[in-house]
Amino acid sequence: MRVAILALSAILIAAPLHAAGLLPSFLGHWTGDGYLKPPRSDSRQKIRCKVEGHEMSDMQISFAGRCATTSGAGGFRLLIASDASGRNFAARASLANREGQVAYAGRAEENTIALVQSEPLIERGRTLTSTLRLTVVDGGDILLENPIVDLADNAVVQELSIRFVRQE
Amino acid sequence: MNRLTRLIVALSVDRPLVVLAVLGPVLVLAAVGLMRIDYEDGLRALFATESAEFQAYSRHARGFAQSETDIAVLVTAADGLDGPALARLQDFVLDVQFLGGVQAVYSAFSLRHPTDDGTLAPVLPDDLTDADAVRAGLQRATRQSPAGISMVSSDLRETLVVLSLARATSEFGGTAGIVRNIRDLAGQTARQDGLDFAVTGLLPVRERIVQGLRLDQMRINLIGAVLGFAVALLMFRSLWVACLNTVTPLVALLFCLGGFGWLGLTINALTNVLPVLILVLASSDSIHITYDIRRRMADGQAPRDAIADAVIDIAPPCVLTSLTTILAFLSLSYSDSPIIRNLAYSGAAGVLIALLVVLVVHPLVYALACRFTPVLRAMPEPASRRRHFFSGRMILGATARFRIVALGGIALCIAALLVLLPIRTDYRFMENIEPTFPVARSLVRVEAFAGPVTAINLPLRLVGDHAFADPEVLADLSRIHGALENLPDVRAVVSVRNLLPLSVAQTGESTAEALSRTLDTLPGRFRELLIGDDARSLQIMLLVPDRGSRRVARLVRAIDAALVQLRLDAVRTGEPTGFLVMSGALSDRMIRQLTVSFLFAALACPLLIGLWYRRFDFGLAATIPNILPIALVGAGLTVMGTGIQFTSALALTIAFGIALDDSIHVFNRLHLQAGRARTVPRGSEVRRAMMQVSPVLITTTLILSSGILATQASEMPTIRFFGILCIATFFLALLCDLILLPALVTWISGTRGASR
Repeated sequence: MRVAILALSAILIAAPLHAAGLLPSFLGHWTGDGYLKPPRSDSRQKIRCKVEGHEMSDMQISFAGRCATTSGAGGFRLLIASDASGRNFAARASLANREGQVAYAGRAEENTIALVQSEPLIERGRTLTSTLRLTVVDGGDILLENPIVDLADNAVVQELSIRFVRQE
Repeated sequence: MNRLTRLIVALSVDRPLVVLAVLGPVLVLAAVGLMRIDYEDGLRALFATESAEFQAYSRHARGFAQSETDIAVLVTAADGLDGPALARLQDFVLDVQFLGGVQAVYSAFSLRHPTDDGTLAPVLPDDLTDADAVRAGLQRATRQSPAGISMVSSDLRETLVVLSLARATSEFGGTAGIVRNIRDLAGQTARQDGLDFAVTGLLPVRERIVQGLRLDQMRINLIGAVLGFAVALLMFRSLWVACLNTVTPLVALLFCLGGFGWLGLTINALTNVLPVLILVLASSDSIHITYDIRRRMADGQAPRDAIADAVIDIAPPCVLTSLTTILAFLSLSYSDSPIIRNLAYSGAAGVLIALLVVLVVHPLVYALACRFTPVLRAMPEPASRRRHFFSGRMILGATARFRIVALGGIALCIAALLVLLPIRTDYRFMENIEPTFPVARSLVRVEAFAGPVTAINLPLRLVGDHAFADPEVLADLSRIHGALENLPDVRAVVSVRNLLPLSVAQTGESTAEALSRTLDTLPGRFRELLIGDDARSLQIMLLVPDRGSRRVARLVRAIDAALVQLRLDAVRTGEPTGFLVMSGALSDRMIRQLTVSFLFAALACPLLIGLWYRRFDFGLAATIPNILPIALVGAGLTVMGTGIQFTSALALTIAFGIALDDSIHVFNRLHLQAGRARTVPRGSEVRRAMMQVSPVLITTTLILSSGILATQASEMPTIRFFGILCIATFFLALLCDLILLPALVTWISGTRGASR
């Protein structure tokens, strides 16, 4: 299996960067630093994550780990899959201490997998949705952006931005 | 008995190589067992009983997080906390949450204050380069937080990070590694900047105690062995004899520890003292046998006969002294506490093993060693060195005025018991650790600025359909706060009501909704501390310093009295609980149980002596001279205000069993003098016996005391205290045996003689 992925990677490197080639970029151990701006707050909290990306199948990876802010920590898991074309993506995000999953779907654009929440979430009378952007930036780092928007006024109620650096 | 000693002689003296061949593999097995010994502090298991208090505590602890399992990290910035220092601290707060077992963190960064629009903003700014905002935030953080503690010291030099462990790992066993990892991370962070990190709290204290136990076992036993050797050298003035005399106690120690290892018995805060006791008891018995062998060889007996006769003569008192010590240990099994019962059985087994080793190995050592000329030359004790350590004037006086002395002793014993009874018990968790240890000092510093880390928990049950944020519930909470806040020792009362100042209702939002929102914003630990898993129960925490179980008991009574007067509509209060309350109540009961154990030992041991010699007068005479030292030490502790702690109750019971050794040597001498005729000793015979045996009594006391002196090298103040109490008891028992015992024997014998 690994040989197949490596072979595929080699072909993709030779070709213009194809979206399907992004998934192997997530494999390995990562440390992320960034910020979280929680709902109803003007201040940004520092956030740090330790994550492992590993292959689930030919077209599916798991990007899972633990994130901590100064207020608390928790585990999360992000399952990302692509279709055979390598252009369309779906993802499921779950938190360790909460039931349920949030489903995303989207496409690859250049070095970015841009996903939109499939079903809006209703919380305390508000209809919320989020986008998830995973960008492979220069040097192989990964930038994760996950804003949550109130659909009623398009206001951003929560911001999350983390830059992951691969650990040796 | 006689048959047993003759069998031992037949084996150890006449077939030493066969016995050695059997002992060799057993020694190897014991050494392997020694490697298997496990260490634990045992301070939690101490109270793990079927008692209502412990069951209530356990039940309550399952429903709510307990602050006692939190780890406090005291962070000090010598030049004062500022932006860069806080940035490093922030890194630590983030990184520490990646350590296994750490569930939640509460720090100055967790503090929130309400803004004008009803939202909560962090007290510390997100831009830590803004010096003015940082200073203003730190000033705000010095105030008492909703958790009842202050997170930053008023001089802005110290701050606190509270780490909560996952409930499953809060049981000890799993926390030692976590504490170590936290300490390592703190060390790495401290190295990078001018910050000082000190990890403290009750779990690190327990971890430090276990560390101390390991060191203690090496240190105390080594010093005990060296002291035993030194006493033997002083006594025998021969390097050969002193070396040979030290072999048996060391083998006894190895066998005991090996046995503990194979039986799965652990070394804990209570059993820590057992190995050195075994060493000392074995040393004492060995010295008696060695003394007798040398005396016989000096009188011209052949080595084989001298060893055999010495064993035959000395074995019975050795067996009896061991039996009284075993009885004293077994009396502790009356306790509800599994760990005290463990001490009882381990102690009894240890003394039995030591006795067997002394009886088998000691003659074997001499049987083998006497084959070598240098040893053979060193063995007979020169007559010039036989000294009387004791003038005997005291004995003459005691037996001449035996009625006055006996009555005086009885009166003193009654007076001491009246001071001692009713027993005033005391227990404090921190009594188990040296106050100068960094982990203990840091805890004191934390409590100085943050507030107590220990709490009395008051469980509440919501009535009917009430929810925790209902106005009726909040009104009841206010009443409870009002009633408890001003009680002595209560530094803060913490409940969901403390979150009200943070819960400014936004437009269209009720207070209840605002309170729920605030709880969501704060670390989840708040909810776990204050609201039960079933959401139908609440917890009020009264933060109180641990100033001993007596003060806690007084405070619990005051809490009960204050609550009785309250009219509550939406909540029902339960019994105050928590580690402080549970340990306070149970320690009191268990220490009282130890008193019963002592009473049992005090009655059973003299009875055993009476039965052993088939002399009722011996049993009766042994009672007062051995209870009096215990009563005097106990009364002294009461007068000094120390009260009777676990250590003192255990020490006095065990010391009683050991202190009887002196009386047994007196009775043994009287018994040997009387011979088969079993005549009642007259005053002159008592005096003669006492003159002969007094050097042995002084020697025994010196041997026991010098060996126990090794406990003073312990890291644990309780073990050092145990040693001091034992030594005090031994010397008082020696005085009683030299003065009171001859008077009582003379009196009782006189009465018996007259009645005949």
